[in-house]
Amino acid sequence: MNRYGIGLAIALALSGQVFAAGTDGQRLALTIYNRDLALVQDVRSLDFTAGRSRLEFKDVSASIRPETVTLAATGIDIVEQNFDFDLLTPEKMMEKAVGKQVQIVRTNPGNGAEVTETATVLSVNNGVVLKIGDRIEVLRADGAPTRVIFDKVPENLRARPTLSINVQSNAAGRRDATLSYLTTGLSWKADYVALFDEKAAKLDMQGWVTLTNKSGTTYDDAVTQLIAGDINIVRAADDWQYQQYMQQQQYMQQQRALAARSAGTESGARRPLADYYVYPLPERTTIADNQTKQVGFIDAHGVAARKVYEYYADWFSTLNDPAHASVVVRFSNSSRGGLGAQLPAGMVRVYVRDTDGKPRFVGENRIEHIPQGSEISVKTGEAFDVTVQPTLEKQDRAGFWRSRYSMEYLVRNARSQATTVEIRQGGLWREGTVLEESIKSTRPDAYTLQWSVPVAANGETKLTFTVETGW
Amino acid sequence: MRYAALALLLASVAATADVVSPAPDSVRVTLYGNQAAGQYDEEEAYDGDDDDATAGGLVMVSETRTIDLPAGTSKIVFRGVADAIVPQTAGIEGLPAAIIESNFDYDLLTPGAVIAKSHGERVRLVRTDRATGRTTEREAILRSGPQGVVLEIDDKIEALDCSGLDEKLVFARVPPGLAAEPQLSMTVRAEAPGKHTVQLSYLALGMDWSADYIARIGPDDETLDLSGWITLVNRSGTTFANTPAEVVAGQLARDEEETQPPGPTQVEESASCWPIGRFEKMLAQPMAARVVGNVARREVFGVQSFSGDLSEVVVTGSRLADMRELGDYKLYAVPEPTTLAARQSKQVAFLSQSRVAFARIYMFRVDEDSIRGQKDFGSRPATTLLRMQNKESDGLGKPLPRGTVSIMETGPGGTVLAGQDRLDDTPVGLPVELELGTAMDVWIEPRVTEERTIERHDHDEERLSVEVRLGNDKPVPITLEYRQPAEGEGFRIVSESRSHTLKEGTVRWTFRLKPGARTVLRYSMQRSE
Repeated sequence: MNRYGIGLAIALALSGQVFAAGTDGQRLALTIYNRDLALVQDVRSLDFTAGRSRLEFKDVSASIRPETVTLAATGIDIVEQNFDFDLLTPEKMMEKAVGKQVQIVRTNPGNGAEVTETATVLSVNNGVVLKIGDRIEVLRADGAPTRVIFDKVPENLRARPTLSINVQSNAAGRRDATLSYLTTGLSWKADYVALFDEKAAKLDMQGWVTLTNKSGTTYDDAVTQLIAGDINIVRAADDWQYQQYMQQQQYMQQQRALAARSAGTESGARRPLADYYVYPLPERTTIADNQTKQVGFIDAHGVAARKVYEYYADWFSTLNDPAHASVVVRFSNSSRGGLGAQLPAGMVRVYVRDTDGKPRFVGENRIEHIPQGSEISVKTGEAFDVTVQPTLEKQDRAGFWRSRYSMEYLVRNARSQATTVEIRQGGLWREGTVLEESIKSTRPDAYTLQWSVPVAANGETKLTFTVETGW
Repeated sequence: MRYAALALLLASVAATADVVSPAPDSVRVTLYGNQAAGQYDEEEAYDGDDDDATAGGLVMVSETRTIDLPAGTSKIVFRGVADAIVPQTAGIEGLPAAIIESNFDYDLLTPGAVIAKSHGERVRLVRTDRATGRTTEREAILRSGPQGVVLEIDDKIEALDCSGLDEKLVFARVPPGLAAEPQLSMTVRAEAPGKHTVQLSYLALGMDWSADYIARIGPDDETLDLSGWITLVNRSGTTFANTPAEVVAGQLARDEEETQPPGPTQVEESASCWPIGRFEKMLAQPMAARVVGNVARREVFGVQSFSGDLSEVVVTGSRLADMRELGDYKLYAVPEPTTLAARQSKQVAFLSQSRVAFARIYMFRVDEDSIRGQKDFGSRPATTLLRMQNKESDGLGKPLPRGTVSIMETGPGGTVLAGQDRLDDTPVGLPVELELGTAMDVWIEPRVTEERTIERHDHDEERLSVEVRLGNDKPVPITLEYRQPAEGEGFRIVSESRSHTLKEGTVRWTFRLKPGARTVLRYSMQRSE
């Protein structure tokens, strides 16, 4: 907890101008977006002196986007903001010492005796050239152990990138200041666990928010909210972008105030914010560096769901070997279906219970942001026992710019239950018409035909059709 | 070249509210194999690249743990989970407590991380005199690092490990938050205290399985014995002892990008220093030795690098794995609990079928482009096929997970490998065709005898006439299948010297050839231009 205090001690040692940025009353608020971006709002109680002063902020995110920083406090004007990212390393220190004096301590390898001399650093190019009295020497050219002692750390060299703000304060005294900035390295996504019961045609769904912090900094005890929805982000940010964020942030605060006035917020209840959805975490939390954190936000039981076999061909062609039909789990996130929540983008992992009652993983797929009331299809994999073998039986000319295709789909089912396979055929173009077909088709759109092909247990069904299409 | 050693005085800082679950009581693993890549590629699976360890197959680990939970809020720390765990997939069943949050911390205790998190801390700089062995200690404040460490000593500034002296840093404590291994924890709130048996399950990487078949052709050349082996490979650093193990056959939808163990942002220690060296070395690379030392410190997260050979290969006896359905996949259970040691592979039999009927067929698929415009195409060998039906009446009728089939034949010189082929996931009832390779004594000589354009009222048609000589120089009668792909608009056979069949988009002529027999096939095909 006194990380900050240590930072402060160094800050004081570094520069006389630096002055207190106190640790008490620190309040952190994080707004984390889907795509590697977060807005950090850090309220600190600072003791300002009247007039000009320089504030150093050591424990901001290591992945801060410095161009988005603002500091707001009553009676404060920002004179200048600096972000120093010249890192303090031995080599940099030596480079900055060119033309300056250092102490050289040579140790006699034989007897350990030390000799101290004053030297001037002449150059640091592929070796350090020193002037010692009248002599010119290369540092450690003789291989003898030689320490170099510097008087002080050169200005602007920091152990880590450091934000400093010069402010003009109209009065002395302690008051709250809000430091806000955008940072990369923080992101979140949703992970869903869907336990599917094929017999009952139901699934239980748990939704988890998965937060990842690789920003290089730990955020202690932060009020956190997550934004679902893809906001436009310009990677090389300009001022206007930051303005937008600030406006949005104000909007958010208003919304928060409104929400607080209405009914009590449930844990994980989502609030629409303009075109996004906001998921506040129910409790303050510490998001450690190099940590993945999960918080539940959906727990739905008995959602109506069914399994469908699908096969899609985008063109009329032959396959030498049978292809396996896709296994798709379909459900709705309408309230009627039992889920009743919009689903932020993420991974859906589907499990089924094995004969021992324990769940087994059967496949995963990505979903995009899905508004409430949508029909959701999650492909879990391919059916071992249900195969489709397409053969282009005949391809004929049907006049200028028209062709006729005769296809056969041999659908085999090695399962002990009868089933239905949805076959979709793309590739129709202008004035695509069905001339004959063994099963009645439907037309989901002008370019696609669809058949529900019933197949008996351990049986096979041939779907044949002839279509004519212009091109 | 050695660089500053780090001595850490470990102070065990354990949060008081933690409930530590040191190890699972029992574990069950379900292996899915590395299937998302589509085609199973042995080369790929065994190339021993560092990255492969985590890119490998998926495994679902189900652990039974006993947790003694106090009332109120507590943090359960799960130790002994698989090292390549995908933490966002972790779930718990049977715990009567609300999960507030679940965390996976991978801020690992490395020399670099210790330095990076100790800025401003007091440390001790210990120097050892090479001549006398005497050590001297100085108080210092760590000012920067780990990419070159700068120290403040008595208000003056010095760099670590730039002097040529034997130096090391001694820290008073491990910075908080750094752990020796990644840690999975859940913060939960329980109404009442109690001891609970829970199921912790999660997905992890680093385990693979594959199916391998051996087909031994019988002396009658009409039946073969087919045995199937499941090979389980544990590339991870975790040993699963006495564990019920299962494998899942079939193609799962996978997302290799999302389902990955999280990698830490690595803070590496590097001895960045000012240039050092003698005059004669100035033009060379004075830092080379240091760089080498530095590279050797490469940290590999989670699964340790797999260096190509497994330390142990275990083949168990021939009790067959039980097969059952899992959704639309097949699940094979290893007959008895087994130990999957770190970096070990193990084989279990899952199939043993004797006297499976097959037909040996010689096949030639003509490539039209290669015979067009050729004056002398020459004679080509046929491909040998073994054709089976995956039916019980033919001695098989078992689901066949995809894998490699090695076909063995017993000849006068003993048993030889006749060829290898890959088999796709094959359900019961489907035909199986295995290609053995080319046959030496069965040859085909196709030749184009006529190529001409026929003008129609609104388009042109092309006619191609082919004459094929076929021969069998084997001492046994054979079946030879000549295949012509039926491709192109308006494709049809307009004349032929014997009748064809059309199957799977190819026109086929089948011949039964006695030893030494020769025959000729003539056909003309026509299609729109």
